Amino acid sequence: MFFFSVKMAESKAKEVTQVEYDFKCASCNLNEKAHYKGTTPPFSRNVILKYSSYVMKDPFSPPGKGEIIVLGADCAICKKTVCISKECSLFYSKLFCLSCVYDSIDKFPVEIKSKVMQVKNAI
Amino acid sequence: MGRSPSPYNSRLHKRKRSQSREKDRSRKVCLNPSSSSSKELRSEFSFLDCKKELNKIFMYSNESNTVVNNLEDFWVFAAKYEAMLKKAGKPLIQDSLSSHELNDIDVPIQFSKFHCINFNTQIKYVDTYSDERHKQRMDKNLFESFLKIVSTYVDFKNKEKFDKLKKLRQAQQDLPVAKYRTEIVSAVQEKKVIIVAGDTGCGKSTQVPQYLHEAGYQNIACTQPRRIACVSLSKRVAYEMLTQFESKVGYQIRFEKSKTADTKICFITEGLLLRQMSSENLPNYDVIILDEIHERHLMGDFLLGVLKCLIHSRSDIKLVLMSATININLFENYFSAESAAVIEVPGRLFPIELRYKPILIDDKPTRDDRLDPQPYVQIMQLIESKYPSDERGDLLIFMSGVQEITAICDAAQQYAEKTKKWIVLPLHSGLSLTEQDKVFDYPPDGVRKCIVSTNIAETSVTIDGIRFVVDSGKVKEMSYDSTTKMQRLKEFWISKASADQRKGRAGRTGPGVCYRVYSEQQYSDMEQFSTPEVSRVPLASLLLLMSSLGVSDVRRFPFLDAPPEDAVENALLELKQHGALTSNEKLTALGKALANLPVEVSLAKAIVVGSATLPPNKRDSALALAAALGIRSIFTTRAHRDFECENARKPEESDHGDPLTLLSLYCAWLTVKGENRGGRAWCKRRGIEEQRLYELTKLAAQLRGLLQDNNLMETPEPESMSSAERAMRHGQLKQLKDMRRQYKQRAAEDSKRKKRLKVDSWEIVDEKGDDDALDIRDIEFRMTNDAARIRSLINGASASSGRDLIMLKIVLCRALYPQVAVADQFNHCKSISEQLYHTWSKPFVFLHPNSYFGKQPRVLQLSEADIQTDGPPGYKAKVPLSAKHQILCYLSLLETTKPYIVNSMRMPAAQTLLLLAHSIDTNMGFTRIVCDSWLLLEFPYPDTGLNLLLKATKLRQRWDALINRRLADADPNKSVESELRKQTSNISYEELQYQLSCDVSSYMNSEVYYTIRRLLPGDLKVMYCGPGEVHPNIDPNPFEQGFECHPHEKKGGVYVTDNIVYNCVVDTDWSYNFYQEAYSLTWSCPDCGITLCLSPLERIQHKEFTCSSKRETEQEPVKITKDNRPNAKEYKCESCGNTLSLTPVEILKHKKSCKLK
Ligand SMILES: [Zn+2]
Ligand SMILES: [Zn+2]
Repeated sequence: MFFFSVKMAESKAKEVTQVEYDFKCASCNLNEKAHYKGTTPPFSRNVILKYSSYVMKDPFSPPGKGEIIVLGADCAICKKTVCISKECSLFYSKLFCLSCVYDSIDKFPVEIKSKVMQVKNAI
Repeated sequence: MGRSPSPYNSRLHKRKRSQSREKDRSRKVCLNPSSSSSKELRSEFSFLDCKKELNKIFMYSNESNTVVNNLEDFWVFAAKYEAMLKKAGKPLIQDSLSSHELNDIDVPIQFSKFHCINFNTQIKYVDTYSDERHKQRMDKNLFESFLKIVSTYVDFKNKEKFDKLKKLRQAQQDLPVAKYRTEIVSAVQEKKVIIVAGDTGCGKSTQVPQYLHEAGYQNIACTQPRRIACVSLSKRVAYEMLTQFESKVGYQIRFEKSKTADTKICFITEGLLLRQMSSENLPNYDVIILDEIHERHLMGDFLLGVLKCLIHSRSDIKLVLMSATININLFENYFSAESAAVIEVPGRLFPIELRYKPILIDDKPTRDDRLDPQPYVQIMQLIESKYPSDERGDLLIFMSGVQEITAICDAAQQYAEKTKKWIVLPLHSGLSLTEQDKVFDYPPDGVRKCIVSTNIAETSVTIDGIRFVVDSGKVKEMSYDSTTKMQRLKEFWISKASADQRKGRAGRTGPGVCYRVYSEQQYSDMEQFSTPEVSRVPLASLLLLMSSLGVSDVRRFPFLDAPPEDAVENALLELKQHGALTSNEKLTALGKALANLPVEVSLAKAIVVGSATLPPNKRDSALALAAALGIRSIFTTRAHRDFECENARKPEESDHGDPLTLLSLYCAWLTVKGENRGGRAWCKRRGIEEQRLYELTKLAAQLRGLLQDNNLMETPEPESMSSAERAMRHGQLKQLKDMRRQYKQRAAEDSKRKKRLKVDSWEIVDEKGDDDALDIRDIEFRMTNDAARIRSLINGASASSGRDLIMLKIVLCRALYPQVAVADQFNHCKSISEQLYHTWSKPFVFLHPNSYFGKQPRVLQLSEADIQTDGPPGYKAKVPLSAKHQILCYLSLLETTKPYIVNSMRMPAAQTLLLLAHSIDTNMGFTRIVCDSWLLLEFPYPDTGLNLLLKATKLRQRWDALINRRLADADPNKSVESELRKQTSNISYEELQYQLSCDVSSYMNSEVYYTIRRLLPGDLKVMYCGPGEVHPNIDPNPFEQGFECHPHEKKGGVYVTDNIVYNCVVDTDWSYNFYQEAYSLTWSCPDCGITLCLSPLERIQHKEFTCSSKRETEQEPVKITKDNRPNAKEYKCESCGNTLSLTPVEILKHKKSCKLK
């Protein structure tokens, strides 16, 4: 495992100044700095995202470990930014804010419908 | 795989067994006609069987990712995942045949769990040659299915981390201070000074710095009164700002810092920020936050004043003051000119039931004033009967001091042993950190903790889970009498603010109860607020620091609460006596050097004087000694009670007194350390707190560094190591680092599991033995100090005999002077505990029973053989005539039950006094000499007094010159003149030191018979001739050549040096007769043989100036005078051809006069 960390150190050095995104969930107001937006986060090359999302380097792990946190994404329908918490959004192939999910609930498979109703009842 | 001993694999085996059971079940399912044979085969498949190959593929992927980082955790997850699928009867390997058809919002019509996951893992499949024993070889398709599990795991981990983040944000949101965020930020933007008042738990200390940083402030300093708080707050805030692996948030404390150029928020101790305040050193702060200002520490109060002044000149700095909701008006008024904004944040406190005098207490004090613990035990009984034991909640009892805590603990323990419902724990700052930490551990169910604490638990230490508070209403506080320079530890009633603070401790985690053992009337009689530190501690260090920071008139400094006037005056006098301030209160070069050292003024002086006086290889002894006296006592409470401990320390005891005993214990400990013998057990056996010795080492190193920075000590060349030595040290360091890692791992594991308290043993359950456990402090000590370094520390610090010892003692004594004490004349007929001493400022003090002389007072007394019973004819002494009189030089006076001398050292009396006294008065014949208008020395033998005084005077002048030269050389703005002198002076610095130390030690050992007597006010009235008589000028002056004599206005007589007044002490019959006799007898000069009738002084004048034998050896006195006048140098006049020793001014004069001729 040792030689991985050496590799990572090198690749880390290559990351020059990085763009920061101000991520703010329209539903719960979670506000964080994201380091990347897209589907191929540069800090963790084995992971590819199906849907373009806001990604931050995991602040709870030491740097160079390739750990990330996907915070959320822009809703596929209304484009509002929402976080991945189940009170704020639903992921099904894309990320949807919950109000858009309610609005188009019939467009989702039944499995999703029951899941959404569960959350709705909980809230 | 099966042979691997790791627990993880054994878990896998279990899994395999359960799997086979599952297999049976699935066979039954297989009876279902729809299931194909291939499906059956697949249902038996488990990725866990391919763990080895799959792990290999992960390794080949050349990346570090969530799975690789948590491989074991991943496989646990995979096992659970597979089991879950099996239970639900779903296939592990999914057919990829399902439709990918999308609907009008572009989502797949057919549901799949994997559509609910954002992650796709891309790891390249590598065909690893797995052994053929596994029938089911991994293939690309299987691997694709496996990656879906990986993705599910990544998604699971992502949610976990996201939840952690969200929870953190929620906790921050829920803090009471969060609602005031915008108000606080905009107040800081608009005003110069804002005050945030909120009680513990409102979150101000962690959140306000973050709010301000996020609002754009780039360099925030946040002060804390305690070092520990700096470290823990910086860790917490870094975590909350998600920068725990960066240095955006740092700290700076006495011995260490984590601050870098990237640091935006720095937690710093009050003292350290103050030291940065000297204009050129102040970092570019844009906000300075002073936290916990309500605690009213000396440094905090002073810092407030300094910043109040600073913000007028520095409009770019914002000042944020944070306090508990105590006395907000005081701070508001103090900053009224700056129109400070006040924002009050309500705390989170649950209702607290308040009860006065819950138990009827006899108010009459017991006979011997001892504390009666019964009321406290009765309250425990009360709690037990009133509150069911399954309702949680611990008890916190506030007592005034350690003795009271011990008394309550003993009684409470006895009671607890009967009911088994309590775990009794003491808490005070004298306990070791591990002992203190016990209060945070958890009691078993149905048992409550009973914590008996000093006021340390009032604000400094916060313990969760307290439901009951018992307040004794008392506190033991140090006060200081600046006239006698004595500290007093006395019990007082607490203030209302303090009582409320104590009460509040019961309502932090739920509703609580507070029992005040005193009456409501007593409460209303209490002072509103506690006395601030500035009114009850020594001020000398503070005033010196103020002076060095450029405060021109300390009396007019805008203190929040002005210190008592006489305390300021006495502190200024002390600084003048030390030579830190001139008579018109300007900072001297010495004062500047002392202000740089973060120890008490007298100890700083010992260090500076030591570095100027002691030879280079012995300078560490003064440093180590000052550091040893500057830290808290190294002894545990057991040290002086336990006979075994006392015995174990015997070999290191020095009969010169406590400071030297401390030093020799330190050297012995270093030796143990140098031989890698641990040290913890060694310390324990001797009743020593090892932590203090580490502190001592760190403090000495810090002081050494400061001396080197200030050019007061040479920075030594790094010792060159041979390659073998280097290799050995390298290996050693590696080993130590390994040990440190191990320790940290263990500590991390320990902190995860809650520590449980056990009822029976009264100790934490900890199976590890104390001695074989890794000692992190020892590891860290050995990392910074290699064998060579320890060796040089020991060599430098040891001074056990001979000249080194004499010099070290006189250096310390010079620094502590006038703190000396003389024995009461009746001590020889009194018991050990009744030995009385008298100091200049305070008569009738005792030797502290734990001090060396407190146990061995006979060392200080004269033996029969030391006393000369028959003096010279005509002399009759009422007090013993001896050459062996001793005085005590001491560090401090402390009054507890009695006034005590603490940390004392014995010195030869007359030698020490004549060398160090601030004022010396003598009669005409030098037979009666009064030191500091306090001690009378009588020298009945002819010439002995004069000779000793003359020697002392010359030595004092040489010593002063040496110190002044050291300070002048250290001055960064050295004058050209001093540079010139450095080049021309042909005697090296080291040589001067050497000569001085030889002469001082022979002087200290000189055998002279005298009496010593303390003068009372009545004696003083008749001791001096008084003005009126006209005194002839002493010319030439043998005490200080060129010193112009002038009369003393009150005592009479004339000054022959700055501190010697000649001919002002009245004679008694014998001294008058002796003088007359000496005058009338013809005296023949031992050098030139001339015979004359001369007074003692005239004889010296003859010997020094007119004796014909002197002219032949003219060279020598020239040399001596050169030493006496530091700025004189050899000058060869071109016009008259003479070689003269002249000062630059004299050279100019001489040139002029020569030309005139
Ligand atoms: Zn949200
Ligand atoms: Zn939407």
